Formats: sequence, C-alpha cells, structure tokens
Amino acid sequence: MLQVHKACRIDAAIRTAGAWAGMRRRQASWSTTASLTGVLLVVALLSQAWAVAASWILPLLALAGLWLAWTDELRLGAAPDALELALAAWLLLWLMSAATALDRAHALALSVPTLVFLLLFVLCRRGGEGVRRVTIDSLAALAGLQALSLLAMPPDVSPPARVLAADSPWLLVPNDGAWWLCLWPLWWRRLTEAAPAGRWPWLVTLVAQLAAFAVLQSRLVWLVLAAGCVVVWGVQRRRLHLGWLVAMAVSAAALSLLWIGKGMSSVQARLQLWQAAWSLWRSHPWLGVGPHGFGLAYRSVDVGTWVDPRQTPWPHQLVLELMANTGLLGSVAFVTMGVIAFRCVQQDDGTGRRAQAAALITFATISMLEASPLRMWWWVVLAVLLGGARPVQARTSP
Amino acid sequence: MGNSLGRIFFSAACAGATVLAVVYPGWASETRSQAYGGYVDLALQSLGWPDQPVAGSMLSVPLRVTNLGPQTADVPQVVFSADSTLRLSHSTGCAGSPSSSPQCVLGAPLAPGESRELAYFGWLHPAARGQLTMGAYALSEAIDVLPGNEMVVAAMPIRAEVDLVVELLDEHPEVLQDGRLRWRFELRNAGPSDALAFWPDFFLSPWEGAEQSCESLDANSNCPGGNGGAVIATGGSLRYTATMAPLSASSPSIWISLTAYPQENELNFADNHASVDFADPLFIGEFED
Repeated sequence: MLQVHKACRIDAAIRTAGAWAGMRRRQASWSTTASLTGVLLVVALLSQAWAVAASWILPLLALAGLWLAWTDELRLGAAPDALELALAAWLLLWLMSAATALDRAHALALSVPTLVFLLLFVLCRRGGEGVRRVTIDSLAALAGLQALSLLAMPPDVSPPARVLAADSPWLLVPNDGAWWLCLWPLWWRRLTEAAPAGRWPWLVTLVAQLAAFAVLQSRLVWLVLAAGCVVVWGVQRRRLHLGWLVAMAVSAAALSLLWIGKGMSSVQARLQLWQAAWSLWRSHPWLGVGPHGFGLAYRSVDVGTWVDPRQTPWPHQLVLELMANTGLLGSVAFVTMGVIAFRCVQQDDGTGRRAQAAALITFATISMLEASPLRMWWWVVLAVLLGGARPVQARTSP
Repeated sequence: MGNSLGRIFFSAACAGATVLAVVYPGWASETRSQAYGGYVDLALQSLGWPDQPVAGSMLSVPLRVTNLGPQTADVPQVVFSADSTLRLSHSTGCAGSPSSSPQCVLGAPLAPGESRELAYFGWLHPAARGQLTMGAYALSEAIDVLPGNEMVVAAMPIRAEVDLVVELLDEHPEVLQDGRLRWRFELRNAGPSDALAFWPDFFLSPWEGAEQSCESLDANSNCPGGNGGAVIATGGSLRYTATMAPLSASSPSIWISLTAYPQENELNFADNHASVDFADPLFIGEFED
C-alpha cells in the first residue's frame, strides 16, 4: 500500500515536469515531494543547454537527492545488487587510479562529472520509475533545444562553426550530436506509449534532431543510427530480414557519400591515437596513467608523424581509453559492469528489453569510435542507461 | 535501520557535492575546455593602436599576441576585418605579405605563456565606416574539425571624415551707407561626422577695419567664441558676414579668401576654399570723385 502511494507521488512529478510528453496516468495525485523533485531534475538537466548554467547540475541533483532521501522516496536501505556492486568496484578503481595518476590534481579536477553520474544513477535506480521518466523526458527536451539551436543559423554555416555558435556545453564537435541516438530507443518507447494528442512534442524533438543530423554531417551519427535500427528491428524476429536490409542500405549510402566527401584522415588519426593508448597501457598496465591522463601523456608515444597535429585529449575508443587511463583493473571492472547491465536488461519485458538493449548497444557503438568520459553527456547517459538496467517489477516490488 | 543509515550516508554525499559545487564553481567549464583538442586562449594587447582610426588615413597597429594556454597554438594568426576598405601595405612579425588578405599568420607555434609582437601598416579608405575589428585565431587541421579558437576580438570604431564646404552667398558686395562693403558666406558640413571645436581661418584684404560676425543656422552648431571653437553638426551650417573698408587708392581691390581647416584629419579639401577678388571701376571712380 505504501509503495502504491509512493508511486502515485512520483507520478505527480511526471505530470508536473513531463506533462509535455503527453503521458496519461490514471492514479496520479499531486504532492509537493514529487513535484519539487521533478522540477529540480528538469532544471538540472535543462541547465546543460547553456554553458553559463552547466555547473548547476551538481547542486540541483544533490538537492533532489536530499529531498527524496528525507521524504522516503529513495530505497536506500535495500542491499546492493550485482550491477551496483560492479559499479562501486569500478568507481573505487577509478579513485585509486586518480590517486596514483601522473597528475592527480588534473585527474580529480576533471572527475566532477563522475560525481554527477553517481548522484543521477542513485536517483534513477533507487528513486523509482517516475524519476527515471522525468530524467528521460528532460533529456529529450534538452536534445530538442540543442538541435534547434544548431538549426537556427544560416545554411552556409559549417558544422564546426555551427556547434561553436550553439554554445551548448555538451556539444564540442559535430560527432557529439550522437548522444541523442543513445536515448532514441527510450524516447521512441515513450512516444509510442503516449496518447495520440501527446505525441507531437516527441515528434518535434525527434524531427529537429534528424534535421540537425543532416547539417552536422557526422558520419558517426549515421553509422550509429543504422546500428540502432538493426538492433531494434533485429530483436523483433519477424522483421529481422527487412529491417536489417533497410538499415544497412541507408547507412551504406550515407557513409559512402560522407566518406567520399570527407576522406580517411580521421580514420588514420584515430589509428594513431589507438596505438598511443595501447602503448600507454603497456607502460602503466594496472591502474593506467590516471583518469583523463591520456591527453597529458600520449604525445610521449612515438607513432611517427601525427596525422592530426593538435592536442587530442581522448583516444576516440572507450576501452582503449579506460585501459590507458585506469589500467587493466579499471577497464575490466567497467566491462564487467557492462555485461551485468546487459544481463539485467534481459529480465525486462519485451518492449523494455528492446529499447534498453538498443540504447546500450548504441551507446557501446559510439564508445568504440568517439565517446569519452571527458564528456559530460557520457556520464549522464550512462547513469540513465544503468539506472534503468533492471526490470521495473524487480526494482519497485517491496 | 538500513534505510536510515543509507539516508545518512547519501545525505552526506549530497551535502559534499553541494559544497564542492560552491568551492569549485568552474568545474563544468574546465571539463569542457579540457575536452577541446588544441584549445588555446589567445589575447590581444594594444601597443599603441589608435582608439579611433580615421577613415582615409594611414593606419599603424602595433600589438602583442599572447597565448594564455592551456595548449600550444599551432597556427596562430591575427585577422583584420574591415570589409575591403582596409589596405594593408606591410607588417612586421608576420609570415608572408599581408597585402593579399588582411591577416597575419605567425610563423611559429605559440607556446602557452608565450607572447609575440607584431605590427600592421596600411591605409583605411575614406569610405570606411563602422568599426575595424581584429580577431586572434588558432587553426589547424584536425581529427574533428574544430572551429577557430577565436578567443578575443578587439574593435576600433572608425571615425569618418568631415567634409566642410565654404560658399559665398553674394556675387557682389552690398554697399553700406558708410561706404563699407559687406559679403555673406556660409560654412557647411557636408560630411558624415560632426566637425568639433575648430577655429575657421578666413583671410580678408584689406584687413584693416574688416569685421566678421557669425550666426548658427541650426540648433546643433555653434559659432566659435568664448573658450570653445566652432561646432558644425553633420548637415549644419554657420553663416558669416564680413564687413570691409571701402575701396580706395591704396586698396583698389578687395580680396576674400575663405579656407576651412577644421580637423587635423579632414580629407576632402575640394570644397574647402572659396575666394573673391573684387575691383569694380565704378566703386573706384566714385571714390575718386
């Protein structure tokens, strides 16, 4: 009975902060607790649309956490499950790596987003489905804002200049638009669940993102989009063949056009960075050079003449980055956590499993070529995906 | 019991996060800046460039470029922007000639903390308007093509020219009752900028006994007097009246020369001068009578 009451209060947050998503909940009731939590979450995540407000996310999440904790909305007394234990082990190794880093101050100064991740993960995982839905909806609104800011420029503006002018803290290069795709499966699920009248905001933000993809001219985005389609359609066995063919045809055409126009220099540069990351791991095998230490040390590796002469702070490959930065221990802990997360997803029901699996695989695909813990969006998306990596029934049952 | 303990630990973590956000408010911008490849912060410092360059004048812009870090600027350059009205003739401290495009590419990378001095020399077209801007950039080929790290833009408002026109209003002098002669002339500002605090220079011959008076024809212009010089607003005029001695055997003709030198940088002198050389035999004959 108590759980039902809590669920209703969280639903109020959904109505308050996520009403634009057009959700229809039968047993919703308004409460100050849930409303304030929802407002804090929405403001915290939307603050990421502007550079001047980006640091607000930490105190706002902390306030939301305090509010939920002291109103008994967080299940803080439950024993940690396997995923949470794996996460704790990985973060502990992250901390140990920072303590032994080449530049400890640098490693710790750039690890504040890790704290944001931890807070958001706890809120999403222990706060219930309502918190997670508000988070997902807020991120959809954030993505829509980013997309519109990218589009609101003359057509002759180049993609890098467009990203710079948008001045959104999460977007540093055109490839950063790929973070939207990590959550597309979850947003699509929310769209299909919404009442017909409530679907238009979802359609607007998704169409805006598609248009923004076109102007960003990012090959990674199209590659990931194709991979996500394959997963979504692939899990539905009846459509496996058709979906696979369509996705591959579209992605092959897009990639071919983009490759012809943009050349292979970025691939060659990535190979050099991967080689440098591998060499750094070989020289610091256990705990690496420290979180975010790749950029400080990779220039010491001899890979010949650099294709990209600039300072590049991350190697554009997550596993190699974790190996170089946190060593074998840190990278094995992270991979273990990922495997456990996939196993958790398998416990979900059909629709949830498909969306979660697509989101995780999309995230993994981006991580193989671009994503880095040096990005704020990487931590936030990871928190959302891991926070929902268990079946809803298992998380909310008494 | 477990929930209470967890609540205490979690609250402590939240409080710690809040404190961290207060004592380290710039963490988000620091994270973002460190994620930029080739991120540099370039600063421009004047070594005596004009606060208000004047259209049509020679231009000298000495400056210092400093890389505030944190990375080395591989291809630093300073770019001028003044449409096509800026003609750079030569420069010091730049690689190559700036005549083809108004920019200076510094020949060698600029390390964090390093400064380099350079200077531009050129000419600003009289039609130049608005402001002359300078931007410092650091560009290079990139794995992820980054926009130019434009960190600073210095702007210098261009001061447009003043165009004074002098015009005689009377073809012949008016003869006063006492025989003296009177002419009227106007000083008009046809340029785009106000002419401020100047002293008009007129030459009347014969000078002995000559007088001149001034009146303003609009609310924004003032005749010279007291402690201040003349002011003629754009489109405004001052009207002068000169009264001169009658013609005589010793002064058989009268010569009025009107030339305006209002501003040190006025460029259009075409209409700044008017003169009349008057020697009417009738007047001389009357005098002889």
